[in-house]
Amino acid sequence: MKDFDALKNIWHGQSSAPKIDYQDILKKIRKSRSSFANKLLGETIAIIAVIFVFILLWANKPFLMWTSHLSLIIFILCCIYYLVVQYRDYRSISNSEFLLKQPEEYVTYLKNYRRKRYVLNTRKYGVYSIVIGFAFALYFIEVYYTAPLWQTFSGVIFTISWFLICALLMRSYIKKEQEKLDEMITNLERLEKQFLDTDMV
Amino acid sequence: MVNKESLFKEIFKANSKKIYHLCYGYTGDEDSANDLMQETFMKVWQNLDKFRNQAMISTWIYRIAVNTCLSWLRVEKRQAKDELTDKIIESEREVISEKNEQVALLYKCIAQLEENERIIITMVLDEVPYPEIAAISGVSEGNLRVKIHRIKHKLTEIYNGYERF
Repeated sequence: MKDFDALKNIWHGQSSAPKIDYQDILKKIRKSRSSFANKLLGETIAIIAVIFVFILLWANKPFLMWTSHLSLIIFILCCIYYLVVQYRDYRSISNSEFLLKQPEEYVTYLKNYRRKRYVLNTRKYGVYSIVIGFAFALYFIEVYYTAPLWQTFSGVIFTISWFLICALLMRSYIKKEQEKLDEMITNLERLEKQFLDTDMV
Repeated sequence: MVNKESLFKEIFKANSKKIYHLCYGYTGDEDSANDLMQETFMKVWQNLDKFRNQAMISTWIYRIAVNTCLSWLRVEKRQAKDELTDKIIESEREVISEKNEQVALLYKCIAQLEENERIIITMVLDEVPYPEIAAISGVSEGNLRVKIHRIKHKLTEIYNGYERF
């Protein structure tokens, strides 16, 4: 039979030590900082390039119908929305304010963050897809009146198939995400209860 | 930058072992403990400029470590309790030492506690002062003393339960 002091002696006799040195950490910091910054920069440049292409197209191609103009505005707005979401997410990840909160508050923050990410990746993505689909539909009105029927038809078929594939993939993704979220929330709520400073005395 | 690096080195040397113990006690396995400790110190580096002596540096680092541990559960999708099995005991057997076996058994017992209990007891074992543990865990000192008393009792019972067999 051992008492707590005996356990404490065992604890202080342990030889296990971290395998990582402070220099390894500094190396990792430099590497991850540059790779994350490169990824973010790459995505931003790609989206800005797409916006630029849309503007060029708008300026140089004489669209005949107002529906095409509206469709281009929607496409550009969608790109800008994507940029804003990326930037907000980056800000939220870099925000260290919550990291220094007490565990109970931190767990609440994690719960809210997970929920927000879930809504963004599922519901908001769904709305985003519908809006893009609507922009395509508006564009195809002009194609219908100006291009041969087979071109309009194949364009519409291709776009609908693409959307159907995305929707199917999205369905299984949403299901998995929902299960993951439920599990995480259950775990986080359990942790939250553990750290509640209820009167025990 | 050079100053920041030397300060970081100092902070790492003074705190890494205790933070590693906390992560090991929480996760129950060596690799995850190293990963969590690395993540903790990366966050420490990123926020070092923001540290304005509002609390003791060790309290500040402990809080980052505790929150990093809590989010580990979210990322890793696994329960530390189930993770720590006889694996540690087996790996420790390679070094035939009663002392090592006892340490491995102690970690195994800690892994059977609830997450907040694991965090608190590793700090108690590492002799972190009670007011500091209270500040880190967000539990008032009065409640903390009661909690610690219960956890000590629970841990001793689990440990002695294993030793009987």
